[in-house]
Amino acid sequence: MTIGHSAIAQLWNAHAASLTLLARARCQAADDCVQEAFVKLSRLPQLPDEPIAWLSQVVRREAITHWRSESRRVRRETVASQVRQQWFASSDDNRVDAVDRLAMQQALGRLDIEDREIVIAHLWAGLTFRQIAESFESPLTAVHRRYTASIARLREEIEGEPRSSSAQNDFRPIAIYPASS
Amino acid sequence: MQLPDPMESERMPERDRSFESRMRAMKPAPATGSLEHVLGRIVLTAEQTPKGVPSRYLRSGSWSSFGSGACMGAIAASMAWFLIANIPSNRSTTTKPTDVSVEPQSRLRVAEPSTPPKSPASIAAIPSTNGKMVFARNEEGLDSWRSALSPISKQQWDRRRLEERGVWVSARPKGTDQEFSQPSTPEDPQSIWWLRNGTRSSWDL
Repeated sequence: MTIGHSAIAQLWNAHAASLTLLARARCQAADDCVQEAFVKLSRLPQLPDEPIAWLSQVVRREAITHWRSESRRVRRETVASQVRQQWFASSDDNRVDAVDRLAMQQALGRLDIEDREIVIAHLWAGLTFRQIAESFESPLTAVHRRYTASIARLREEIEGEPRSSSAQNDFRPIAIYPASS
Repeated sequence: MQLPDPMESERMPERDRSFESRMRAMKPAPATGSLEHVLGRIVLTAEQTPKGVPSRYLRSGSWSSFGSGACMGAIAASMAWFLIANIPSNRSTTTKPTDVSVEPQSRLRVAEPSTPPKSPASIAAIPSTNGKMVFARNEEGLDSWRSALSPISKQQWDRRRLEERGVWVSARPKGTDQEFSQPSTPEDPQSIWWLRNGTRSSWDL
């Protein structure tokens, strides 16, 4: 038994954009990472219980592989490339409080790579903290702590309002992972 | 079944929570990859022999002499077949699968060598069995190197408007990190094969 093309297409239409954003959190070859993940999905005998969590994990692994090979060669080009590639779609949302897309992209780019991945995985890929913790092989509480700290930092960068001292203490990220370069 | 997330109800400062909801309302940009590319590769995989090579492209006895190199050759053959299979029907009839053969050195041979492409409508690169990989990038150097295992779809090139910028195709030893801005000469010759304006062309390094 294999996974049908229609199921692949459905998952692609529903999640390819968010998975691409997740891959962009780490590498420039985001489209390759996402395509490869879907090809690997097609080789499974049946759909995983949580397809988006499975795809996110594979996309992230692919992105890490690309990132390692890219990092020495194209790190200097990354900033220019990230500016060229729009991470977020234009919106007809004219609310006064709409977040500026480029500002968000740049602020995300200043986060630690894994913090950025956690934010994207939860907010846009729709993964629960439990799924992220399993995918990142990190404690659930640590993932949540890093997420809340990252949201506070993003808000501070974009809105220019410093976090309260209590919030800083409450949500400061802790060193779970080796420092990412 | 989706289990409840124990952290979802954890408290977060109200202004952060408000900011989070505004972030959530933002939509990721559309995927830059191609579903057609994915489905094409799935079809390809399904039709491969257990060794991963469409058997009709193998010459008798040609794989036994170079052991694990056959794996890369298999990929090369698969790549060529995939690319040919993806040529739109209104393209040249010279691009039938039977035009491609795999030789002991896994060089994909085509009839007429020509100059490297400057602005291909679609481009693909073929790995050799000797550990070399072929890559392409635009002249500004901002697009990442592409593994030959990930053929670049026409849509991707079109989207990046590389036609206006020119593309270099070259080869480098796998695993090295050398930079170059023009085609380099690999240690062993290999053919690079691409499609341009519906016509198959080759560039013998």
